[in-house]
Amino acid sequence: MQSEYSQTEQQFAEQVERFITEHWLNRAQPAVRHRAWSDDAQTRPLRQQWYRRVVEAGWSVPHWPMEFGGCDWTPTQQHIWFSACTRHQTPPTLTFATVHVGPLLIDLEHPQRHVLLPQIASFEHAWCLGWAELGSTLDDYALKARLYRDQENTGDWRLRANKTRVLDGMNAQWMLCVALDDNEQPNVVATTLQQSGVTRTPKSTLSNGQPMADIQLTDVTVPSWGRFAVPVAELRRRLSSTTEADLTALADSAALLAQTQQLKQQLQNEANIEPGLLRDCDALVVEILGLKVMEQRVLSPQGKNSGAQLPRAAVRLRAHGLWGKLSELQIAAFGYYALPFVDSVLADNEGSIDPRRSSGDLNMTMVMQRMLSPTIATELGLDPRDTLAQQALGLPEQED
Amino acid sequence: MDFSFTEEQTLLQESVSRFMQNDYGFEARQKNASTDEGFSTENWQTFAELGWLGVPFSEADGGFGGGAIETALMSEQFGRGLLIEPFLATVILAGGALKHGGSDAQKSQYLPGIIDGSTHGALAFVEPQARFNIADITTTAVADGDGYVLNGYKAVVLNGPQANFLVVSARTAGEQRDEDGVSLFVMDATTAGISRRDYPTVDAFRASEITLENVKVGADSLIGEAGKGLPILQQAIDDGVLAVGAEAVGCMEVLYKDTVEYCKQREQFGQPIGKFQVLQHRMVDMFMEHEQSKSLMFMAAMRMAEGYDAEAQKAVSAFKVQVGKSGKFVGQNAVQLHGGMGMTEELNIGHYFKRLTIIDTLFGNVDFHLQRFGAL
Repeated sequence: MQSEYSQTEQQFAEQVERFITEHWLNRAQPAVRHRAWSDDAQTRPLRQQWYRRVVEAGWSVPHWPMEFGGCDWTPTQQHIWFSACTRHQTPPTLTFATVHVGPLLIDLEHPQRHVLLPQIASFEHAWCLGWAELGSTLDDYALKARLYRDQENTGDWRLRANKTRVLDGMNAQWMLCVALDDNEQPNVVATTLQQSGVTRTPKSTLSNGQPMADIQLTDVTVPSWGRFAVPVAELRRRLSSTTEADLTALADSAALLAQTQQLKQQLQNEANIEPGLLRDCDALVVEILGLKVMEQRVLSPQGKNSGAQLPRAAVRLRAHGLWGKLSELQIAAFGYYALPFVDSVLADNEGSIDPRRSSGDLNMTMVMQRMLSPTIATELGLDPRDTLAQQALGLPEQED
Repeated sequence: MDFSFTEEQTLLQESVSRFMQNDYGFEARQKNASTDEGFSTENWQTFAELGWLGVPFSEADGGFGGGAIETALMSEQFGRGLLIEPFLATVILAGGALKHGGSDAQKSQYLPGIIDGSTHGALAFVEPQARFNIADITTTAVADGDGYVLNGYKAVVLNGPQANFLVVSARTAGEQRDEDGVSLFVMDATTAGISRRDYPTVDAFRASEITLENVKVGADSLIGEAGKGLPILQQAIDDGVLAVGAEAVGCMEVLYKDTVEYCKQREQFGQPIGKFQVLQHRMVDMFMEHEQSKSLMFMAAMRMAEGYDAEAQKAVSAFKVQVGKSGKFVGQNAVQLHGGMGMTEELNIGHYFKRLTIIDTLFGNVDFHLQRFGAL
């Protein structure tokens, strides 16, 4: 057993740091970078510039097979890259499309994969998920979205749906949608949102971080290849980020550690601080160190003669809980300055309200946004504890 | 990070695991705990024959040449069986102090007896006023001719009743809480001037209050340099933290697994209670606490194995913090989910919980180690 990176991994980590420093950290002031992270329209060129550099480097989808643009990286190298991006709050390379849609197209050997995958890998096309509907939430059998054959016998399909709370729905070019067919069976279908019959309405969220949308699809076209041969239950499982092939949900500990240490450092300079807060910072660091080891255990070979065995849903669950704890600590640490709506301040581009802090310090609000923004997992009601109860503990299916 | 074990480590782990599973039943353990010795001398000899008592000692000293990782792997399995034999007190603590600071002569005198199972030791380092500060020492050792004279009082000396030799911390210089001026002495437990008051502990181990009254020892009983004993003591204690922490990880594994099995069998309203989501989530939380602790166990063991420095100390304290919190959570919920059965002496659940509660206090509780972690 050994606790550190190998020499090769250490060199790779340094290469990643240099890349992010050159193409992200040195490109804009912290406050501007923060706005770019939260998808502010004014900073779109900055985000696009970052994505171009990532694509040029060939690092946009390292977790995919090499023939589709992936990298010949070990799981640890992937972890180093994703962790560094999360820690430095770059525009996300882990999107719904790169994490879920791409691997689904690859696994299904979908006939359109050679067209769709390059668009995803280059960040030209974003995808969103159309699942929830008013009144149906996650109940597949209460879905009202309808998929039916085109009357003109073109081989295409038509889709009629009202999807709500669609993450990234205002920006996406494509939607992966769940709809019932004539046999009342739920289907997974892909449709472009750049066609007539698509109406998008922005939906306010608790945070401005990730825009949501209500999307009405009025008899839109679904191409003949758009009906995916994947059961809805399988899609749900994939979205829970607990599949063995998905390494992308394992990149939180580095960001958590950096932000907690930064918070503690700031608190140590405060004259009127409750001593319990510093202690809570230390307690959180202890838990984050545990998460860090858990991430490494999942990344390591799961052999018999090893202490690595751990279901990845456990890491997901732990990380989610720790972001929550950090958020609580942060709100407590800000005192009265937890009250101003920071996003609004940033949108006005007037810098920090708190005279003791530079605008850059506000990048810690990422945590608050992260907790307040609905995530795909919570949107789908996918509690990793349900997965773990059955997978790790062998408990029976729950009683409805 | 590399989590793979060597072939020797795997064999050792399997050997201990097999014994605890097949030959260390709960009823026999309870019976052994109520004997005069408080454990099975037969088991102790078996441990010696299997080579377990020599695992942490170097091959030059007649041991197996193992280190922190081997200690953690063994102790985790001991925790699963709720081991009552004084491995911690004799091998890790008293033996550890000699391993880290003893002279060749001291090692030759005591370690072979530990390794072959004929000698028991105890580390007398706690004092009533000190709480968890191991430098807070009022026991004195005053130079006298070629040796020293010790006077003082040592509290809660684990395995005191069975110990053939004692390792005692005493102040040879400095003020009561100074880090310098602390010395360690090894002496026969029957040396004139040593008196004991023995008692059982809550978790069925044995301990003693020890009074030292004009105890005369030779200069050759001093471990390491005079006044420089604290780092040796600290290292032995941190070995102990790793060992009891790993033991707690083993205890937690049994508790959450037994609880899951119980909830699969126990029926209410015509179905197993394990089907209810709220209980499933509680059990998953127990599982998570166990895995979080196990992860920090790996980190602490790896750091300790790579060298005893501030990083290793920090990792050990982080581990102890987690074990304290997780042990309480897992123990309380195991009792709760077992209902009234969990409160009884006949079921093992409550005994694991008691051990976990005591482990939190041993060598410093959550608050102490969190403070140490933050300061390092």
